[in-house]
Amino acid sequence: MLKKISIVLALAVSGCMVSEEEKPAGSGKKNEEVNVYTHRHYAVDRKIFRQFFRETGIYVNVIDDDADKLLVRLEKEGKNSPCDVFMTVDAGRLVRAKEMGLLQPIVQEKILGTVPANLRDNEGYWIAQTVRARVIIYSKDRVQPNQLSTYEDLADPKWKGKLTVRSSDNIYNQSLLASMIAHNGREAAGKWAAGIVSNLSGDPKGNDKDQVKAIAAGQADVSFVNTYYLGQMMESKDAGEKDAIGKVGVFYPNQEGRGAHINISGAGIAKYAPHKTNAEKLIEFMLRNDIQAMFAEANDEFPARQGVKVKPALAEWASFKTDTLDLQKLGELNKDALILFNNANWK
Amino acid sequence: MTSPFKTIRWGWFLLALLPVIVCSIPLLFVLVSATQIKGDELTDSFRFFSTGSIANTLVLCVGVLLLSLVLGVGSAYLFATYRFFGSRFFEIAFVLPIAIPGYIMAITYASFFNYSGLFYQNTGMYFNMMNMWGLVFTLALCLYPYVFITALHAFKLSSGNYNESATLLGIGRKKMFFKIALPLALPAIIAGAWLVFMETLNDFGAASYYGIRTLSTEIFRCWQIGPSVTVFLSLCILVFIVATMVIIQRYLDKKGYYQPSKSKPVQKIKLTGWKNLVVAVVCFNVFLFSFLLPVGILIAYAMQFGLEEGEGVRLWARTINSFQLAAIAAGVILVFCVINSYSKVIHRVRKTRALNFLSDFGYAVPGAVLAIALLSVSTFFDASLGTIVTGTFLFLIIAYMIRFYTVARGPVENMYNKLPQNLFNASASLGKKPLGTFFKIYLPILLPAFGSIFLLVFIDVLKELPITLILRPFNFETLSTSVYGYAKVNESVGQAAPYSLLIITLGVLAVLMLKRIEKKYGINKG
Repeated sequence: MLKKISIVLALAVSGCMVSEEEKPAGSGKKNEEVNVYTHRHYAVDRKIFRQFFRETGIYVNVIDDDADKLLVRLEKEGKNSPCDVFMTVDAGRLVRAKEMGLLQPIVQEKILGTVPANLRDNEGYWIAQTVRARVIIYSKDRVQPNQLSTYEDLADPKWKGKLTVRSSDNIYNQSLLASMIAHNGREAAGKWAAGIVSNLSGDPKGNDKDQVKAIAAGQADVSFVNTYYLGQMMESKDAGEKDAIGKVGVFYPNQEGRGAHINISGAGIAKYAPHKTNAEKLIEFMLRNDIQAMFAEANDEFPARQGVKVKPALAEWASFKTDTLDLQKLGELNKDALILFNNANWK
Repeated sequence: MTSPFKTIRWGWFLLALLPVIVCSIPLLFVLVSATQIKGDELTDSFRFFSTGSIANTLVLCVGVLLLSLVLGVGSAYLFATYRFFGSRFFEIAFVLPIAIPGYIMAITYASFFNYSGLFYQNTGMYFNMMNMWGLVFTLALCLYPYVFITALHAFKLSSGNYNESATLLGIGRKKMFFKIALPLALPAIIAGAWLVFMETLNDFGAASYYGIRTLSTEIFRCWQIGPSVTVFLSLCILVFIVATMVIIQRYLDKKGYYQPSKSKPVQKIKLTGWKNLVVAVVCFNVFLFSFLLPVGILIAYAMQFGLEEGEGVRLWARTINSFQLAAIAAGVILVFCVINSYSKVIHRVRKTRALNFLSDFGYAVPGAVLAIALLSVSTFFDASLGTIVTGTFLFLIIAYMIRFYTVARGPVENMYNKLPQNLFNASASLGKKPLGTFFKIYLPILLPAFGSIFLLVFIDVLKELPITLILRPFNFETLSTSVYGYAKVNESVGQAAPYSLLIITLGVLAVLMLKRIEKKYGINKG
């Protein structure tokens, strides 16, 4: 028996690796590849990388992990880092990467010019690929849209016991609070966080989709989530998820004022990128009209580039007014946001 | 002429030292970093630190330990002493949950009971899993097998002789359990509970998803402010482990435990009537909640979501990746562990407690923190050696060794300790060199045991996530990195389901193989 097992094991271990993606011989040569560290573990990204390879012959090597860990890896690797492009889903982290000295500026105007100024670093250290809004969702059964107005209003005692949120460990919440600090000042933002906490129906937990489900189940009436999760749930293969999203309405807050809070998914070129030209090519490619449309179609994210045609559901959302705050602020105020969350006891 | 027993064999000694040195890397890292803790950064960061996390960690550890002990020890005693409907099946079935990673158990249960889950959709009843009790429940369900495995073995070993004597002396069954069986099995139970304790301490994924702040999640969160708090908290964990270990050892020493040797097989008592029924029903329920239900939920998801175009190839490739990686890592870890322990036989060192916690530390700190420590080490080599080791398979394997050396160390040492030292001495006096003695005597006797320890480590590597994520080479996906991507980043348990199921399948196959070896050779990892 043991012999048999060892034979099977030995065979399996020595068995050849199965390649899951096309990668022709010779692609290991320098200047024919580009290395990406990304937080985005999305199928559409891989599809786009494959198309990039087909069109340019440059193979995209990927490692994906939590952005904070990837930043540590980049920092520790220093000059030896193989990373060319760093991609993540929050402006705050891109700012952090810049502040840590891990990126180099993109200078080409043909890349920078494709997105509005508020969606990129003013010195070109990072640039958005896609945009996501953090919007209010509400129970269609228990809340009328005309009861809703702004993020600020959710801290009002009239919502006592009716809110559900995810943890303040989450970067999307941190950036939302950072934007509140930028607009209303530290004191008001702190009060807002405390107001939200006192209106909660239960401890913060779960992810964005869980907030939708909690409302559908009647555990709470109002929350905020990122738009693309809503889109994904509407198209989900899971009947339960579709049912849940059917029970909630989407509300774009602060339309009378600054507009709904947005964040970006973006990229920057690593400071010691061994394949800098390829990195520029990849970033430029991801901002091309048709590729931007792919992000929108598959992942329900808004294109960073203006004027890209998207599916009707997204187009409707895209028509709302969004905050034009310089996204750099989200990074600069991240630490303040963490302090305020902690003071407010927002778990 | 010098006695053959007193020389230090430097080759063996140095080889044995290697894993000890490697495993002490994270500890050294923490200690070195501790000297760089900035006071103001620390005080600054403590404004973010949630003190409630300490209480939460205690409650979580105690809760998971208690539930694991009740489930693991209770069932082990039952199977060792009684025969009842399905008892032979349950004896294997109760080990299976070890194949389910904690984070998969947690997200699966949460998704089952939330609004879109099967339970709510079919019953309309809302049941909130995502709290402390839910976390204790889900973690204990996949960790209790660690206690069960060791306890079952101990009960089987000790019960024969003592049970007979005790019965002759007219001692009742209840008294027999508490006064005889339990104390005899205690060292083994503690060994299993120790693993459960450390697994609970290092859990990050399940706790953060359930919104429970523990030392593990705080270490990660405070790190956004600066490394000082992370290092400080790692030190706290270190002190916590060492203190617990010292207390346990003191206790065991005071009691003067010894390893029960093999006794004659026990005559199991056959349960009949309602007792038979009740016990079988209880066992079935444990199996239901710890294995059948989570696996059933995942199968339902996998069927609902189906496979996307080209996903079959992806699944297959990643299964192979996971399998190869886990098998190689487990093999390497086992070899070093066997050499290390054999060196202790050669040098007649039976106890090396002081060194043990070096490797235990690597197991008890949160994986993400260990990953960072390892990154510091690998990038240091990158810069000083001139070749890049970060992101290579070699370093990934070393990382696994640091992480899981503890899992193999205890059982391997135990196996050696069960064999009399005279075995080695006799062989030595007959002129055999240590290497010859190992291959001619030790290896043939211990090979099956090594096989089962290999499988245990294999299962652990298979389930590992944070280290694999950050230290793997480019474009290298395993089953668990896929589960992370789908379940965490895409927030879709459904898309992650086939990958989760494959992890569990590989783990279950390993468990079945392990049971086969045990049955055939009558051994266990005690």
